[in-house]
Amino acid sequence: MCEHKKRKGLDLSDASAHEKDHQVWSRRSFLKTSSLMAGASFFLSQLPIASAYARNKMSSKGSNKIIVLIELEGGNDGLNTLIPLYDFDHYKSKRKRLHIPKHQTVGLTKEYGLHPALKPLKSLWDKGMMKVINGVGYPESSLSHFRSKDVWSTSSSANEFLDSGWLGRYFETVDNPKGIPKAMEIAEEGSQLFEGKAMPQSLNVKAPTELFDATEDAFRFDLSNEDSLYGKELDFIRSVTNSAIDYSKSIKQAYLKGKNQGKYFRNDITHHLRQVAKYIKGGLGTRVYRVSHGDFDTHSEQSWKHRTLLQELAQAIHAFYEDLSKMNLQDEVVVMTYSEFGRRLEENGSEGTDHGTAAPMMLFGTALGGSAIIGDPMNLRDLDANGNVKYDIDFRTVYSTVLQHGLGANAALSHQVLKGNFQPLNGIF
Amino acid sequence: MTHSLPQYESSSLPKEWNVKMVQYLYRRVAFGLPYQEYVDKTESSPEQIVDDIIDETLGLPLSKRPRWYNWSEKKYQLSNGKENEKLIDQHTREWTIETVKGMFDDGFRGKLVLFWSNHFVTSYWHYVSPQMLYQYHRILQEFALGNFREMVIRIGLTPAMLMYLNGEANNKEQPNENYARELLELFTLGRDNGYTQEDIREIARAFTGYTVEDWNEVAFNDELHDNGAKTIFGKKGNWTYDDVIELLFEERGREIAEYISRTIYKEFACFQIDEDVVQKMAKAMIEHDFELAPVFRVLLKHPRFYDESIQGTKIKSPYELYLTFLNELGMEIKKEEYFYEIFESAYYTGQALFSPPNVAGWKGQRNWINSTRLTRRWEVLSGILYQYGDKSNFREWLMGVADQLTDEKHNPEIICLAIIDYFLPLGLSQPNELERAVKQFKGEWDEELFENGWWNLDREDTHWQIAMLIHYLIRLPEFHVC
Repeated sequence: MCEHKKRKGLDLSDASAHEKDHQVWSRRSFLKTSSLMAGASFFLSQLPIASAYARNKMSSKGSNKIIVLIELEGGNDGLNTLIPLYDFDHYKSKRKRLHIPKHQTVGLTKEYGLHPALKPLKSLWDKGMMKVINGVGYPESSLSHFRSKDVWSTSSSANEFLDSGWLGRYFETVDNPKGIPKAMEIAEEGSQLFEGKAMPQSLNVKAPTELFDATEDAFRFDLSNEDSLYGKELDFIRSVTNSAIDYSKSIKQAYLKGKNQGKYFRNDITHHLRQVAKYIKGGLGTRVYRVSHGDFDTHSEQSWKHRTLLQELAQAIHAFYEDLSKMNLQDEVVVMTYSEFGRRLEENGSEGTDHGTAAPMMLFGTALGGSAIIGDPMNLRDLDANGNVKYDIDFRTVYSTVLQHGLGANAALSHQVLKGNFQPLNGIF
Repeated sequence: MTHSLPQYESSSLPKEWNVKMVQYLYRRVAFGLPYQEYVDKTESSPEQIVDDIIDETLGLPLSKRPRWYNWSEKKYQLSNGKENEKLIDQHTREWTIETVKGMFDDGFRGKLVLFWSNHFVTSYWHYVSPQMLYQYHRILQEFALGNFREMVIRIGLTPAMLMYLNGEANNKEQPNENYARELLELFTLGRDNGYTQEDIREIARAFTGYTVEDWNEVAFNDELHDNGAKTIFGKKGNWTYDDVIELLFEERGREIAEYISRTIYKEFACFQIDEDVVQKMAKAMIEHDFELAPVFRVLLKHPRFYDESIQGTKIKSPYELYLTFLNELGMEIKKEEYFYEIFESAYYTGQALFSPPNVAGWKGQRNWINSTRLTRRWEVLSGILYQYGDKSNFREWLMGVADQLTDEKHNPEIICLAIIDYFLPLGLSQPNELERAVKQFKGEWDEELFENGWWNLDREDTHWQIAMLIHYLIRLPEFHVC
């Protein structure tokens, strides 16, 4: 290999271009040393940590929070996340093998305890930085992962099919400063929630310096605005190219400027939240981030799978706020978890649980002004025909809260984005 | 100046049957071809080519089974009692290479195996066994263009599927709905299309009793099977696994045929469905008792398939992007490791073979493109251009690419246009792009050279000019669609 002499222009002495290509190829090639694919997603996004720079002043104040969404993909078992101590015997009777013993739960209130793997979150609760919203769902909840994911991303009702995501629709109404992406995803798969009516409103970045290098010899394009299918697909690729070029510099700068502090563990969700912390500390100014965690689809062997996932989640969130607090940014940033559905009360025969409906959502940050469980306890004895709990709070009221109290949208815009009059919840922010 | 090509006349199919059209067909049903093969194919009629593609695929032998195909878990035990992970990885790697090689060598069948692996999704990380991978892959290959109902019967009882969707843990005490739900929602009927939660629950009961033994055997344990009566699609009976599939195809045959035809249309023709064509495909499917070959014959011979409005509308998947590039550049893949590099490159850009992100598979189309994936696609394509495979004859090879496309030696614009026309499905779409392309091609040569006619393609180092042009084309959106 490497028989070629150069690639830029016709100057035979251009060795640096060769070197760059070589690096590109060898960065891929080191994958070979790992077994089939193990840990590759973590591996690929590993980057050297840059030295510290002075802090950039955060511009966000008041209801202008930075929102970090953590999607728990596959349907998180809410009943083993927030254990219903208020009806424990009934819960236990339905989950003979999978119930969390009372004494092992991490007590939040008299009625509720957390899964023991979520212990690192207890300190956030104690500091008044954690809110749990109970029984969140929607009418006629779909038991299909994909339909329910669509419902949550597009903020539709169960029988409504939308192409754009709720944050995509929101960001289409918002101007961003030059070079600052409105939203970023650090996830293997992008989410529909940032799809705009025309163009995606987020940037998916796994490795900021790599992105910057790759855009060096790329060109910006004018959009054709042609109406043909071909024209539209090309315009889509053009706009992704343009975004990569427009934003890669500031992303890289912020990434290198922000420095992680404190102890982080080594797993994908932690690694991705670390990157978010670097962007925020580097003063990037992006308003919404999304990372994803999973697979929470625990049809079998739930016990250890769920424990591992929750532990990684709790450690990551804990370390994230420790890190932010070093620059006193814990007030600027609100983390929110969501999942396409919860899981069935009664366990199945393979030490797992099947698809359910309503489940709790968790929010974090000092901006929440105190810890609390919002909403009534879920009724474990009044189930629907499929044996699932009934929802109490519509997820769109949570979105409305985030839009109005977190991102500073007014009520009219919130209604327009969510396609309905969903009043924000009190007592969240 | 391009080669003059034989024109094929037909009332229903495209009048202009030329390299561009053959290229379109082969980029859609396979992973492209080397240039000369495109030219050769222009001599047959489109109908003939479609029949040839399908008949050849039906006649292809299955992959030769590896020596380890029936190894039990015990065979991987080291003397210290631990698992020989290295050997497991090696065998899995062997079959990964076999699969990628199949895409490159078998064209249409390779494409179908990839397609079905994204329909009947399993994930390697849920079973981690070369034997299970082998068995799963074998079914996809055997039924790639075979009988769809038969494929449904067989795939559901592969160890890989039983592990992935918990069939092996499904027992009469407390049934597990996972496989039953996806069988209907994703594999046969489509979401909310003629079934209820009740049907799912009852089908789960009927599917109880299967277990996976020793990595390569599926067993049926009567004690774990629910013998009671179940009501499925309104029919009550003591249904078993086979009964359910029979019932499903009897009661919901029309829905299945339409859903599968739609899925095929989306993958091979266009994401925007033409319901008229889909109905014709579904009709063929039902008339031929769920055989797939007639369905593809209908689609690939339909004028709609060749319509200009759907050309270039498909965003290439990583495998389509890289393998088509290799084929069209006329590169031979001499070493097996090179196939593995393609596997890694596809993984790196969002298409992890045998491990899609979830049971719905890769979403495809726009989902292949985001800032990370797009820029990595550029990098991988550049890697293929400059460093992949044997590049000892780099100049000769690139000069050959240009030579077969044009006889022009002096006019850089004509040379550029011939190369552009070959790699981009519908050419350049914006006026300033040709100017930029020619600029890339001219590189840092003094403009005077071209003006005075001193430059020609046979000069030393002109292959770098060709490389730089291709380097530029790789980064155009047009390169990423077909």
